[in-house]
Amino acid sequence: MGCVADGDGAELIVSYGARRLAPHEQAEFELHVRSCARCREHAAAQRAVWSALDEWPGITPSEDFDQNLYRRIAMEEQQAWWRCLWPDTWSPRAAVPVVLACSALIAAFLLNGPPLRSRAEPQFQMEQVEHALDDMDLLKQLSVESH
Amino acid sequence: MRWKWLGFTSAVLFLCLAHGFAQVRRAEPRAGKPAKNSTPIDEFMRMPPVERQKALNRLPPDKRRRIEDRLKRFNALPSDRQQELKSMYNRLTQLSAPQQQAVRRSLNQFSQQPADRKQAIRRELWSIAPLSAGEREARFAGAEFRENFNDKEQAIVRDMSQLLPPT
Repeated sequence: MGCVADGDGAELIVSYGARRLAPHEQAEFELHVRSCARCREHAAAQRAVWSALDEWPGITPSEDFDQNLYRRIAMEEQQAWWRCLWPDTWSPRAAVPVVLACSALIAAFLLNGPPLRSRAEPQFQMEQVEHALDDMDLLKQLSVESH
Repeated sequence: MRWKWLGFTSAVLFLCLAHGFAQVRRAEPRAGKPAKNSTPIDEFMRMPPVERQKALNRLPPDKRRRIEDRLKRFNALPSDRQQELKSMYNRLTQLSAPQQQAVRRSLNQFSQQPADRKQAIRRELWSIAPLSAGEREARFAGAEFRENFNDKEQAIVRDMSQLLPPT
């Protein structure tokens, strides 16, 4: 077996580190490694990586992990409509002056816009008309025509 | 980016406030007195006929008929007489509430006077119309006025003189 550290041999070294080689391939590679310093160095590095991975503690998800995950997905979907109105890129600092400007606009409109007619207005106006007519009747006695 | 946002929104806010204040200042004279010689009757007559009829239709039938008749009678008066009445009405409504009450009471008492006394009071009233306020007071304090009118009649003339046009 020639030196496998270059070219396609890299895959062979990775498979050796992962212990995926067939027994006869492994024996042949180990025989080569004894005589090839470069391959020995690469093989040792691969072994070190896989040993480190073997020592990595496994994370066991909680029993209700799936349930919680689906619940959160459902919540995200329900909240999606207002996220369209309030994109994540908007910051409250920028929103405050906008809200103030809108408030000023509304206030200006309410102060200067056309008066809102209430349903009670006509009745009130008729009372005013009636009182004015009462006064006019009283005042008629004084008018020039009555001299 | 943040400063651009703040600058833009501050400018918008400033413009809105400036516009609002300008509008309020412009609106102030309108909010005060109504147009010269404008009365609730004028305001009612200025309403579109449909709205006017709607307002009348909301009243009980008897009251509606009564007001319609009175409006018709008022509108049938010659325009100079209408103007004269409106002027007196506006002077009346510009008085304080107690003064208005006193004038209305005197007008009611006047209406209950005998015809000859009514005529005398009316003549006195229009004779003092061209006088200044000081001259009127002098007239009220004079012997002739006191001899021609009893206390009640004097009070009526004094109260009703507030309705005379200013000199």
